[in-house]
Amino acid sequence: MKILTVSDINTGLELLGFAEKLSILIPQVKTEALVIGEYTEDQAKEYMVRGAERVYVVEEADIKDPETTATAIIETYNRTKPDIIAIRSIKNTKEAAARAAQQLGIGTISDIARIEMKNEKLTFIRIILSGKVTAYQEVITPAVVLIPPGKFEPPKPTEKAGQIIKIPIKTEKKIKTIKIEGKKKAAVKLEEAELIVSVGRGYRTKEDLQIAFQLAETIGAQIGCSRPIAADLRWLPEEHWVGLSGKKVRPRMYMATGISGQMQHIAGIMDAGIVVAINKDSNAPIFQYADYGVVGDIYKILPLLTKRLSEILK
Amino acid sequence: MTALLNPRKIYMLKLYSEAGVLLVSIIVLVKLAIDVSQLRIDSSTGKPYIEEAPLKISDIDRMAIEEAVRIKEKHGGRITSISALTWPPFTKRISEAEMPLREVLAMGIDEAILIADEKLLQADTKTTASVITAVIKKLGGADLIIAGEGTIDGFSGVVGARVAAGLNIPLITYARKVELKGNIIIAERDLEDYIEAVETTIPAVVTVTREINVPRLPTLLQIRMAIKKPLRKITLQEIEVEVEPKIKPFTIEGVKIRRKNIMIEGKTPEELTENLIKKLVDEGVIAPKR
Repeated sequence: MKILTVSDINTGLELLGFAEKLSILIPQVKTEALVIGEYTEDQAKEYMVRGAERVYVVEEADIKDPETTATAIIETYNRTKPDIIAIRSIKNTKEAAARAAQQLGIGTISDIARIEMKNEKLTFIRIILSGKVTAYQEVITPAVVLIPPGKFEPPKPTEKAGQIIKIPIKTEKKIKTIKIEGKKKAAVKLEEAELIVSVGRGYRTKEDLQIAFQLAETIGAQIGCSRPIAADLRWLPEEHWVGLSGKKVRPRMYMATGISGQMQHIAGIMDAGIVVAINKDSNAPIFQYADYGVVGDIYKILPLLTKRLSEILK
Repeated sequence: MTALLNPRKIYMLKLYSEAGVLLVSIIVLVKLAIDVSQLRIDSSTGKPYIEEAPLKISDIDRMAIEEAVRIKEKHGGRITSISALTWPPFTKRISEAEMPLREVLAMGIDEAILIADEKLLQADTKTTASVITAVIKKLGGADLIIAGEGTIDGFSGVVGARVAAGLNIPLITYARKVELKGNIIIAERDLEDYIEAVETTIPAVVTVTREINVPRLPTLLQIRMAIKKPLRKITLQEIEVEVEPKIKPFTIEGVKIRRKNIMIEGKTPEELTENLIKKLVDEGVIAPKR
């Protein structure tokens, strides 16, 4: 089986990790990499020592431009005929993958959670229906697999060498970029947080979130939130949004305060260590998905927690 | 539901206003999704009862519908929705589809088309997109095709882009703002780290995010009028498409969430707080300094 990873030069090593994982499950995996955009020879060699027998390079393409990336995928596909194309699942690359797959007439599997052998068949596993259902997808190759960023670790380096092959492309651009504007970046990297205190509709005003901020500061936690707080009320920037359309987090402890626990929110905390829920409504669904539940008023419990914990941690 | 499509009537005529101005023809892709909030999962076997869960308009597709209606209100034109029935059981779903599709019509869509064919059950995204592409071609195309960025049930997020590739027309994904100026469409793409303003010419496909608008609730009058609007059901034979799936239908099981589900006891907030802290210390989440 031949795997082709598709990425820019900075983000492809984790895809080689995916290829390495496949090579453990099935025999005779041959890995090649397609690098989109600029690169240095040293960087390309890094791909070779981590498993890529060949590194195709399309310098005219840009990973942030789905049109040129799609063309690069199609050209490289036609040249090397891989069985599986692995690409990171971020918005621009997902678009590029979808465009290329439809033109090539091949399938896509979005956002895999893991891979395993099931009944001796290579199976990709996805979580669907807002986190409620696991789908086992047997793969008919060729197929494009969209891999969530950070899912796989880069393989350990070896002594292997390989070759670099440049592929020229011609893209007929239909979309014109007029302007690019950075988003205000909060200092939070919620995906990497060890502890998270998360807030929901149980707070009456934006100012009231202070009681959660104080608790978070006391224990060194980051702040998360449910959809309404980020998307509807806009009390917090999107970086804090935890859930299916927001961030998927994996802290040691996730404390949901004033969050009712819609499935879409739960989908974001599947990999959390301990889940604590504080909500005054004893029927709130969040308690079903919590390790420790406290039925109580966040306006009373949170300040008490902050006070007691600051004494304990002093 | 009304009878099958009359092939002679399939081709959409170019629309002109009384003043002879070309009006916008819009197609909205609407997924009839599983209503996840009503999906029951057997707690002992973990089996999800998909076939019992009702269908609803996929959340983000409501924004797609609303955006189409707003463009029509501004520029005039006609909106057709296309849905493909992909969840089994087939017979039950066909009759069940009528209610959400009437809701689509009540929201301001002029005509709803349902592609209902057993071969489409649990179809992969390539098949779904190919069939939708074929229907759009049969309709004579459209100026603008709008879809949600993803559906709440499958959340593959690729069908809109695949349709654009199938039609070989420009594609703008993840739009949080869309503006039509003559035959130019200008949009803001909402990406992970930045906003990209782009423009292209119509005909084009645009996929939208949740943030683009707040969909209106239909008025009673609109709901009544929706009953009279055309709702057509078509089969693959009528659009002359052969289905050749590239991904096999998946097998499923309920996600097992293993949580301890321990409720902290205490009569007062103080007691509750103390008992919770004890647990956090036991779990090693909090390490007391003394």
